[in-house]
Amino acid sequence: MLFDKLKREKRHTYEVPKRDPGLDQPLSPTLEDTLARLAQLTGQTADLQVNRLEVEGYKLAFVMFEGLVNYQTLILGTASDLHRLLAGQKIPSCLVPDRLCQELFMAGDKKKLRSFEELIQFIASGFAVLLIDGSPEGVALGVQGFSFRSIGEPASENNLRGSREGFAEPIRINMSMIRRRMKTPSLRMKLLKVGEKSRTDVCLIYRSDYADPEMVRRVEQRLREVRLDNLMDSGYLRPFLESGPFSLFSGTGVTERPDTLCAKVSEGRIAILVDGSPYAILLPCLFSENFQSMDDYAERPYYAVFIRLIKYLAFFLTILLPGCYVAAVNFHPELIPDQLLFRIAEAEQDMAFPLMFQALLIHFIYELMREAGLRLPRPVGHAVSIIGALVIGDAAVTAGLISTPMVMVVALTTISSFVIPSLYEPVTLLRLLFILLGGTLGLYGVVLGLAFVGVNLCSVTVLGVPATSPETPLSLYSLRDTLIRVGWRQLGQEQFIISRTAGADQNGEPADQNGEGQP
Amino acid sequence: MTKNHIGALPASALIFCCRIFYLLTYSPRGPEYGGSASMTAFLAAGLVSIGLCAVFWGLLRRCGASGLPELFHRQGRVFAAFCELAVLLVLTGSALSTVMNASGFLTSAVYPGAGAQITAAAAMLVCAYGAYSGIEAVSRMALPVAAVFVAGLAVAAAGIAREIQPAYFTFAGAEAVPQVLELFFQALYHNTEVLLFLLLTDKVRGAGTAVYARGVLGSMTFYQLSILLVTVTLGPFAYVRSYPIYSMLAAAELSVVTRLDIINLLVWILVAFVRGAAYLYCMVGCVRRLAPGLRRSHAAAGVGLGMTALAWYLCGSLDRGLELWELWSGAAPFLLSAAIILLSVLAALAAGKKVKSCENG
Amino acid sequence: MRKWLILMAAGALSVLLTGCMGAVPIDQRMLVQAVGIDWQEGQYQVTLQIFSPARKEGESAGQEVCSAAGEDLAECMRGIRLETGQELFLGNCRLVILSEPAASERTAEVVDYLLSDHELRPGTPLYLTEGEAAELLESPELPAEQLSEMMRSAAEAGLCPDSTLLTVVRSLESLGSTAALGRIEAGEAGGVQASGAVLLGPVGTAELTPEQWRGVSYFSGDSRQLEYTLDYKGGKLYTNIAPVQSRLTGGENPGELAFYLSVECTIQEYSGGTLNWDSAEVASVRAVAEQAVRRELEQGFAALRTAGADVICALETMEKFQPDFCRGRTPEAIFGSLVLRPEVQVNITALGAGAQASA
Repeated sequence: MLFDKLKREKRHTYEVPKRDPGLDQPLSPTLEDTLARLAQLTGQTADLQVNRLEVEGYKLAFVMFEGLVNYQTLILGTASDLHRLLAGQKIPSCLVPDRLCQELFMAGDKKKLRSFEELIQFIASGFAVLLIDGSPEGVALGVQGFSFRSIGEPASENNLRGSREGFAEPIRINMSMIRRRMKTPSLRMKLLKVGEKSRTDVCLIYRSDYADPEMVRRVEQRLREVRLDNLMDSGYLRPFLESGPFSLFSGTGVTERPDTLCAKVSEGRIAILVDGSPYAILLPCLFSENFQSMDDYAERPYYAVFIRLIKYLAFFLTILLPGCYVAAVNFHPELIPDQLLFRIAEAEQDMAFPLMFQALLIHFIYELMREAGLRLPRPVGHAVSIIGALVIGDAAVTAGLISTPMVMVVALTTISSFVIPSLYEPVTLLRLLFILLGGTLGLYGVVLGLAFVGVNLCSVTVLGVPATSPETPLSLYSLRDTLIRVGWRQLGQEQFIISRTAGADQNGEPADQNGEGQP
Repeated sequence: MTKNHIGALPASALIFCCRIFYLLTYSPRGPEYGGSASMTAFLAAGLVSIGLCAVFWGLLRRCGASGLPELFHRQGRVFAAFCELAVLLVLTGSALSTVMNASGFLTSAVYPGAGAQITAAAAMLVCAYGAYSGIEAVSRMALPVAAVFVAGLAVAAAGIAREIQPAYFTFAGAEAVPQVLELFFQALYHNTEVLLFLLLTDKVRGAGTAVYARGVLGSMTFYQLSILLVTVTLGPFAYVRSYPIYSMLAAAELSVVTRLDIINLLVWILVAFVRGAAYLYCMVGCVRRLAPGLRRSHAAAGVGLGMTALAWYLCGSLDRGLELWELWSGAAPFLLSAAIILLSVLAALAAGKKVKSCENG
Repeated sequence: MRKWLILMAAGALSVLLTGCMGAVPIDQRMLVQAVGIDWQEGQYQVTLQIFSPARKEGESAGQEVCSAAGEDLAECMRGIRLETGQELFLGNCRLVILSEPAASERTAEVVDYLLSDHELRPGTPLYLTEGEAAELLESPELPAEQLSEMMRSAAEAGLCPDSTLLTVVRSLESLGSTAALGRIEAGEAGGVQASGAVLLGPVGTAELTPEQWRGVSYFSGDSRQLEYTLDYKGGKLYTNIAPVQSRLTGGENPGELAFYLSVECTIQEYSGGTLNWDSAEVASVRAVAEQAVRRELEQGFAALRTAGADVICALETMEKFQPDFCRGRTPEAIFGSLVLRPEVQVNITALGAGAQASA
């Protein structure tokens, strides 16, 4: 009965994305009809600009959305060229678009269009479309002039050394940043449109000499099968690119850095840029890549190895420390050194709540503060950190809500979680899971949880490549850039190709989870 | 024929983990059983099981099959159903004995106040999830579990080194032959991994006796090392303990860590998980072959919940658990496995001869 | 949707499972630091020294003592548990002390009981006291930590055995059924000190002085470095002596044992002035060290034979050390009328300031 109710609510409140009706219609040869139809389709929207003009006896109209076009280029360049091109011997109106496409210099990008779908697509992308009375075709002129955030430092991937450039929102800017870094003819960029209503530009980037063609084909197919109304961010696409049962860990990665993207594409991966999002998607992504950064490759190998090992340790600390602490104190105090146990016993004797509850409470408070700090404006955000320090560090301990050892555990846990920001989401949930397991079933529960998480991670396969490769299935040679990092003299001699890693399905077909077909 | 999804190394690691399971509750049970008698018996049992696997695999190849299920289904639905049910029975017993053995250890040695039903049910549910994730995921998991076991043993050896007394190890003389034989047969009967392997061969890349042999030899090597370590550190004390390896680790010390029995807990639960998940996965496969229309998720859920309920029932009373344990410690599972394999091979060979004689005649 | 409902149910169930695995909050556990066991007139008395956390600000943590009597150890522990209302936690127990009557009559039972507790470390030290264990633990000047450190240092210096639950139970289960326990006795200036060992055999006990115990250590193949203070030319020579190699074989005559022992000697300091370290001096020092080691060896062997314990007392020592020699021979044949002929070789390796000399 509950499920029937849910189904009724779903039918009533939600709608399956559909294409806009009437978009497939071709443009009318009559200018006024075209303009009238356009006004009807857009519902007389206030930002649609139609500038009618007559040049050398031809009736023309520029159609654009306000604020997206560079008027200077349009007026000084394109408009003045029109007189030059249309003067002299009169040609039929239907041939004017061809002539303009061939001889108009001031606009960088010129395309002919025939349908209303293309018309709206172009003017929404910042083009100015020239319509000619008597021609069923229009000419889209690339005179974009919309405002966008300039290229700045990536917000989420900080490095000590290396480039300070991060992606911006416009896809073309991002494409140019990649092309500038990889001057090889094998670099391919394929543009697609995703989103029934938003028609967002999505760019598939890969290297034809390293990427597996079957992988590229499957990614393109998955993108074409995406049924979304609006695509506002690259994050919307990630679930469509992954396959297999639910997993806490993703087989796709994101990056805000063009240098990282170029490095990954050079390993045979496929990158996806989404217009309007500064985050690019990379797939397939191995689990061990969460512990790598560009700084590793700029530092000396011994230091890079040390930092990587620290990161692995931090990962296990952040997910296991609170749960193991709760389990050890409640179930296995014999595992704790004597002096430490006495301190803990002293600290816990007057606490109001049991240990598991303390752990959950303090993590909940921390997540609240973290979220508040993210959403608040910057000047107020500083105050949040001060309040947090006071609330947790002093008042909660004094009030007997949590004990001092628990504060230390949480501090170490949260600092460890910042070391691997790409895994922040799964580790946050896993931490809570392990606290619950440790508090209810002791270390037995923690180890069962480890088994669960381990097999969950091992089941992640994207485009036939296991996420746990090259650790398992083991490829000893490939470990030279995972747990450790050998020097560039060795690394630079050969290029790692992701589609050939241990366990990858050579045929490029998905390695099914049970080998017995889809569920 | 299904696609090969498991590499040779993960498959060997899977067999390794399955076989190493019973080591962790190894008990010498008396001076005449300890030391070299156990080592000799287990080594011999391992080599014999490799030989058996080679023989069975050879027979399978002779029939032109890549795995046991294929052989079952050649002789018609009734024969296939009979074989699948028999296999299901063996797998059920093995999976149950795995989880209940783990539960017994935990409630005896580690959590004396815990309920056996809760521990068994929790373990079975997690194993069911492993089975649902697929044998590929479980075999990938087996490799780091094997590495953890080896590392744990090395740490344990470092921690207990100061207690080593080589004099405690004695070479078994001729008088130990009856005990060696008894241990040999017990170790052989514990082994249903041959059946497990033959059920999975069509999913293993480069499947063959070599994959199985690597897993068995690896487990035998660490069996020998572990038994040797227990013998030379605990000496006669090992004979009076139910779980001597656990006692040895409790006595080990390394720097500020004053006991290492957590290694036993960590390793054994992971090993039990891999073994349980592998057996449950094969059970799901059996159920789906018996009911071809059943979705994988439904079959996994059914098997998981059914086994959890069964484990809950059997752990509710020590008598019930002991009955199962005594039955499964005997020759029943091993002989049943061998009978199923031989029966299907013979039927396939007979059918093959009949076809040839029809063609010739 | 179904998936999320299942996950929520699992989460709720996990909360309800709290307590099903026998969790005990730390503030409800009694952290036992030392266990003392007395045996008198057929009754046990168990005394526990437990950690007492600071209850108020400014107070420091200390220890409390509680005890109970009963016919067996389980009854005593149960009594303490009922009295205090807390669960006993033996995982951090630093030492177990037995009184002499308890050690001579009840060691096996005590060790069996203690080792059945999975929290108690098998490496927990086990000692014997000449008086009452309860009296020792009740003394406020002797917290368990201090006591265990003192005994550990004494064991490292070779003054008493490093007896733990594990070593004792191993010895008791072996063929010789003999265990050696470190002994605590009252010191000269008040307090307590380590004082040799007590051998517990199947038919009796034998007390060994620290020198006799060191001799037994050499004989049993212990390779620990021991501190020696030797009288030399009116002064004191402070040295460390460590066994390097030893060998036991049948002697030339029946009933004789030839025992060869090689030790390394490091000289730390000499308090009697300055010595001229030439080869004659080194040879002289070597002779003094050799004499000291030989004397202790002979005393130890004699104690094994004549201290009142059956010859089987020493069999455990012999088995560990020379199993090939012992195999096939009865205890009487090994010890019946043995005469030890020790041969000691001393190799001096260092002379305090770092100068090297080898003999």
